Amino acid sequence: MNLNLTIFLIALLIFQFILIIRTVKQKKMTIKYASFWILLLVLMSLIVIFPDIIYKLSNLVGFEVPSNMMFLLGFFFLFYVSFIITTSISIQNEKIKLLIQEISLLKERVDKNGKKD
Amino acid sequence: MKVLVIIPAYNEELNIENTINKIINYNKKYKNKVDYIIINDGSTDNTNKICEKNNYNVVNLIHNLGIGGAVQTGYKYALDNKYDIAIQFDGDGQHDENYIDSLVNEIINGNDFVIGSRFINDLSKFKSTKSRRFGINLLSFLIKICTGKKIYDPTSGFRAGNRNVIKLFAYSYPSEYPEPESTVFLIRNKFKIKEIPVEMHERQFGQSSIKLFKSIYYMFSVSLSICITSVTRRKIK
Repeated sequence: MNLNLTIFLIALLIFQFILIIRTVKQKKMTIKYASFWILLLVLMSLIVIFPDIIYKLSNLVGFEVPSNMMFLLGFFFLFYVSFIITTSISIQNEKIKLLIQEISLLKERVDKNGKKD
Repeated sequence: MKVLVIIPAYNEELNIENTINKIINYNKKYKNKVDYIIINDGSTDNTNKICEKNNYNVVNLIHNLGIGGAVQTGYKYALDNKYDIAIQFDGDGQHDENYIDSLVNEIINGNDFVIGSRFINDLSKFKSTKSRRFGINLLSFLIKICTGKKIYDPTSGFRAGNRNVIKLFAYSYPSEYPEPESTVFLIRNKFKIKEIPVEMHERQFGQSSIKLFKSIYYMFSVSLSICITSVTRRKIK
């Protein structure tokens, strides 16, 4: 692989790494999710430094060009990530619903007691 | 027997007084007295002010939840205040208070859950639009296939449940397409369900919450929820 390209990709990965760390520092992401993204970056760095892995693997599986395999993998990965996000949104909706209900019922009870006094 | 009428209301400033008057009339006419609770589902109109002005019993949800979450709040209220029977009654003037008594009696006779149905016989003159009836028939057919039980009006929001149902719904009630799914869930868990004919009227003011362009997505989602619920057996607390 072209040296310039390798340097460019590594710079990009470093930038992403800094972005993640910064987000965690600002408390906009928890460590649980940060580790996930950092592990992904490690995997990507391995591929950038040793691109032969991808060439051999795609040959073995039967892709005509390695980039096809990368696009397919990327597609499935993003599909999976958005799937997980949808489930976590559903769970959060359920929790928010519960909160709204309980607070509203409590307020009703407090108001009613206030009127009696 | 303590009976609670749950009235979910979202932007029903034009109908809510009428609905409560119906309940007051009912209590004058019938022996089985009922209490009511309005669940104001974060209305943005004057529903809240009207309730306050008239000193109605109301739970004001601090944010809009949708019909499922609002009705569930009513079931939670029923559970907290130890009601024996809870009845869902729409705040938009569609339901007829004279049938509350029949629903209550069916519960007293030993049914767990009673559905007020437009389609059992020709009692109700108002039967919704043709396309909506087609959709309802389709859901009814699907429920028959999935559970073996014929429910003529699975989308009816005029329903009554006993203490076991109140407990169950307070604990878990679907948010998105509540009526068909919760009915299938009860059938699946061997609750005794009865459907009785009732009259319904056209909405007095305002629009139904199901808009036409969403109806295909609605049909697909409800069908999916019926199928999935009919093969899940959840543990009941």
